[in-house]
Amino acid sequence: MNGPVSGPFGGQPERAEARGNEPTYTGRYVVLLDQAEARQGMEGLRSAVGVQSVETVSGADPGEATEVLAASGASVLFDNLGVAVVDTDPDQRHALVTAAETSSSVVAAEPERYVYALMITEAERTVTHSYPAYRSDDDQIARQARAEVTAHRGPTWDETTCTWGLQAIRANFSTLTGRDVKVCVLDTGVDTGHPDLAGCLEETASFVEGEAVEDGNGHGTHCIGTVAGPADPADAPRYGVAGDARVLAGKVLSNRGSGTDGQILAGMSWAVSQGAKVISMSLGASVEPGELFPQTYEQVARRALRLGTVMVAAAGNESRRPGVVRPVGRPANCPSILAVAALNKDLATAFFSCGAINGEGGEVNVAAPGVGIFSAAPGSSYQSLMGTSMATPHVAGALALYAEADPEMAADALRDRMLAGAYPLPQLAEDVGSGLLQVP
Amino acid sequence: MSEPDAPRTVGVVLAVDPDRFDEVVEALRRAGLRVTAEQPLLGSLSGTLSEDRLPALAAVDGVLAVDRDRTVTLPEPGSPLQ
Repeated sequence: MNGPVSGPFGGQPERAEARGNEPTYTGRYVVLLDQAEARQGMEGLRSAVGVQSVETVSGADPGEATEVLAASGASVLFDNLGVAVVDTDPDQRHALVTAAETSSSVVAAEPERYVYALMITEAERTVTHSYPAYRSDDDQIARQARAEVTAHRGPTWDETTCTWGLQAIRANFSTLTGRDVKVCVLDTGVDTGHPDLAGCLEETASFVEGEAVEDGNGHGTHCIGTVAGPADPADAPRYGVAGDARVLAGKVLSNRGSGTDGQILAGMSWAVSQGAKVISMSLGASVEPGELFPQTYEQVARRALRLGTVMVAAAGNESRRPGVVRPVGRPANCPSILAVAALNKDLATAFFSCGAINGEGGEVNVAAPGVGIFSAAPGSSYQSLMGTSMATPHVAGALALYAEADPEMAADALRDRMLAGAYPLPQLAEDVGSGLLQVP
Repeated sequence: MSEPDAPRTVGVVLAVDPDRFDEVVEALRRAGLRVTAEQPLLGSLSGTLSEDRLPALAAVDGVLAVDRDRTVTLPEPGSPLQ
């Protein structure tokens, strides 16, 4: 609390105390009364202080209250709130404070302040997707207000203890860790001996003929690190979203980075059979404008959702912004698979990130950090990479935290909650969907 | 090698009704599909067949989708953009 107020019973303010050229105090007092005996409390104040007249406002009619408050010299009792605004002569203020202190019906009294627009940074309620423009959920608003601070911080991130990506999605502020939630990463396998990752691997499987699950590429290891790298790596800042998630590492892409739809479908089935809550796919093939999504993937993704598994996939890296925006690739372009766009450190859309060029299914669902992403690399080392491939496992990790928070939640509800929790960005929904991913 | 005029062999992936998976897969075999992998849990399978037999697959009762099996390729390892 600012100003010359101490304790619940305020001292005497200067009327019209300066705040620039605008007054801070109105000269009236706001009195919080014991709601059970508000009228008695008000009557006591009236006789002690010599209040001329008291208007009582009971209903919710804003017109009535406004009219009464605007009247000079009027005191107002908001009966249903147990709050009174008391106008006294300046020489009666001491009597008012004394009466307030001695009356058992008065809980607190303080000078009424002017409130100026823009004094308070209100949570932005602009939206970039088809969600309600106003949410009554206080936690949600508060979380978005924090995200706004992040958004205004700009590209200067201190990554000493935690990567910028985790800070941007607020993972470093979450108490959730994805404990016991299974997340499948379908990619080039994993460095099973990496000291940061060995502990998070639940199961591994290779769907590439002639190749073990061991990652000879680096792509899979990097993505798994972003999902479930440890809370406090020995020789690196924190870079994993869900440090206690259980990773199912499915190798569907060869060490050269190549795989077929058939291998990916086999990996999906394995993941669902293992109880994965999330399948993260930092992979895809480019499509042409006007091309329909692959029906086989869509059918499989729908069935996976019914069986409890959410699928997320990279939107694709074929754009060259500004100027060239290419459509979201497959399988991310399936309506039942979430497409993840990539953001720069300044939260602008990354130059390569694909956009919503095509119709149904071709939309971007959410955006996540995808440039300068530090994570694990084979050989017990680390590397920084960029791509929608790097953005996607941030979303998978966040979904693990949502799943941990409510283990019984159905997969479609899990997906919807994550999307609703995203922080709206100024970019078009065609580029960033619901906005910047935020963890619960 | 195929004869110049022989139809190409193509790879396909399919989604079928998972509640009668075995029955539909058997019908697909009769339609010319050489099944290479099956995922009854999700109702998907993959296989190969002569390109000219493709329309016959989609006509099999219980088939929800037929797509060409495409290859996904990541950028070269070492490329900063992944």
